[in-house]
Amino acid sequence: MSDTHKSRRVRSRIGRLGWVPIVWYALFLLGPLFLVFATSLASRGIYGGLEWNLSGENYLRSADPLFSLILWRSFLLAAVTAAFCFIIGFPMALAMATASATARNVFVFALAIPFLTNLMIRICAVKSLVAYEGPVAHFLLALGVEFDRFALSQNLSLVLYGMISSYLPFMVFPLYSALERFDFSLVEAAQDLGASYIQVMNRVILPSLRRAIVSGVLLVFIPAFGEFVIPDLLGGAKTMLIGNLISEQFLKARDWPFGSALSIVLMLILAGAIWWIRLFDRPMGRPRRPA
Amino acid sequence: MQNSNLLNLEIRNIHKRYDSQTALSNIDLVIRKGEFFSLLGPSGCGKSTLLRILAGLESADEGEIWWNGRRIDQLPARERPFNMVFQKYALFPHLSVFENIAFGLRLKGVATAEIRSRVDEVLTLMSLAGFSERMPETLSGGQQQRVALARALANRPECVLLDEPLAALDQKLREHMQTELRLLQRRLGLTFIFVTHDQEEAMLLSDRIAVMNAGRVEQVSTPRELYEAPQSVFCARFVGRRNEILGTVQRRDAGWVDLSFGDRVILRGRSVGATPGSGVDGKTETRFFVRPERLRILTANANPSEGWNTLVGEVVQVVFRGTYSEVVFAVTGGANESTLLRAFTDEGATTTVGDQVRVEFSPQETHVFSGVDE
Repeated sequence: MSDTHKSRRVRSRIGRLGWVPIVWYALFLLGPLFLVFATSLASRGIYGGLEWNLSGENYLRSADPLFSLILWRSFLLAAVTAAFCFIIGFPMALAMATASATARNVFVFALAIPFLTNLMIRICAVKSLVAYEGPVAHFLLALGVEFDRFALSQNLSLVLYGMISSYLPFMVFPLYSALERFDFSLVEAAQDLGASYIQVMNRVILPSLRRAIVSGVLLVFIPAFGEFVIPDLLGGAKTMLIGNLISEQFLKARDWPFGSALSIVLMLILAGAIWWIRLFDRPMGRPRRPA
Repeated sequence: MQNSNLLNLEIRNIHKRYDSQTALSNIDLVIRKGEFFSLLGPSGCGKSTLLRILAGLESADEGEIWWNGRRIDQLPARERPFNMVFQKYALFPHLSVFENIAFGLRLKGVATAEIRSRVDEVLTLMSLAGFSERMPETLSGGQQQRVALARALANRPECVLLDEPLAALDQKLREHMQTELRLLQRRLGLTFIFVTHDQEEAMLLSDRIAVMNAGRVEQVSTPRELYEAPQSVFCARFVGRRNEILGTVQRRDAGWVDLSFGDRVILRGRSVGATPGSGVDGKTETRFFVRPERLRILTANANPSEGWNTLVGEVVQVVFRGTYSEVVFAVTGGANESTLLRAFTDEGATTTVGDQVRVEFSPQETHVFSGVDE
């Protein structure tokens, strides 16, 4: 009786545990998802109820240019957030990964603090700082600077700041863990073979990290696409985003079928984006042979 | 005739410190063109640091490096005419074998067709034909090793730096690669600078070896010289097997030392460097070093050779080693009764544990060093 037989038996026993998440997943994710899909095919009753008439009317409505604009705006905000998170997060992750062991722990902890603080608290803290009657406004007034006190308390920069600071850890942690495992002798090998610093970055470090970059971008992009709390609170609720739109269909307009249809559209777009981004998560550098 | 002085690598007075620790001090070496030169030493002796300084991956605090009459120590790594083979190969995991090897050529802007032919050339040279499309992670250790070497060679460097390139391979593969490496180096006529902690490997491969210890070069010589005439205690202990015999200095003259071992036995040895023990004779203790294969076991009725050292002892162990036997015996008739010596002999079959043996060894092959501890 060999060890492999034994370990195979143990493994199959452990394998049965796999059913627990599958059942969980079916009950609490696929089930509700199906309900959303079914609802999206219904239509709104006069008093906000559901009428089961099975039509694609809600999907046609979501193709309206007005809603496309909202989708595009949300996409842009998510893309810009992801881009900024990468630009800021990559040097951070690199610095963390190359720091001494004690400094690393401090960095990880420092990065985790805002992550562990409730979103509302962080946003309200920023809001109270730049409020109409807040300390920044008074300070600028005291200096005699002319500015729009109203615009100071809610603007696009604040929205971006809120988005980036909230989602930055999602970018930094995957990059950091990949860089921590990164073999820096590859950098030396590249330099030895004639690479400049920029070439080392473009040809060795970034390509080796593509998997982590893809995860980081996805982790930021996906929730940022549906984000509406931060833009509402820091942007003054002036701009409609896909997240606001959906929540309003359910809470204010009481048009559940249309809200459901919008949710499905959003999910499809995100799935498409994930598929597209994952195309970069492939080995590259196949030899390019001359014809 | 060409000026041979210009065709070499000259390392002048290199010093390197890390914080308060001295990593390298006062390194002076001349490595000839086309030479297989090894830096041999235990871990932490500074051999890898020296190699990295040559490659330009680290800078020395002091000193100069000259290559064929040109000073290169201020050039960045990418501008030096050397390529390095790293201990763990450092192959780019995201690039195929072909692209790994072509990496340096692409950076230099070599034409695509030329890249193709040069990569194919080194692939053939390293018996890697057919592997060009593979990713590094799908290759065995030995194959990765070849790719690493091929990558360095594709750039046609004037000198190849190898940082313990065989350390990660298993014994059998390592021996195979050693032979291949040596043949390759001869065929290409390149200068190889090879870092290793394995003295057998260094002996097998090198034209010359620099033995390093604690940031200094102890000896630079051919493998044979290093083995037969070590210049320091460290070299004698680090390279090959040896016997050490502790005794008291009785007399010194013109490079010879007489050592008393116990009450009656007087041994004679050659002193290397300054004669040890500046104190009064009869008080200073020192050690004689002699290689096990230099101990000749005398048969019962044989007369010892004229002027040779002799010792008697009791055999405590006989180890059959195939081509020879190792006879371990405890010396008797001396003050240091516990001294165990070993002799390598072809006639181990006739010796058994418990036998009394007499051994002799030439004073020419008995060494005593200055600065030996105790």
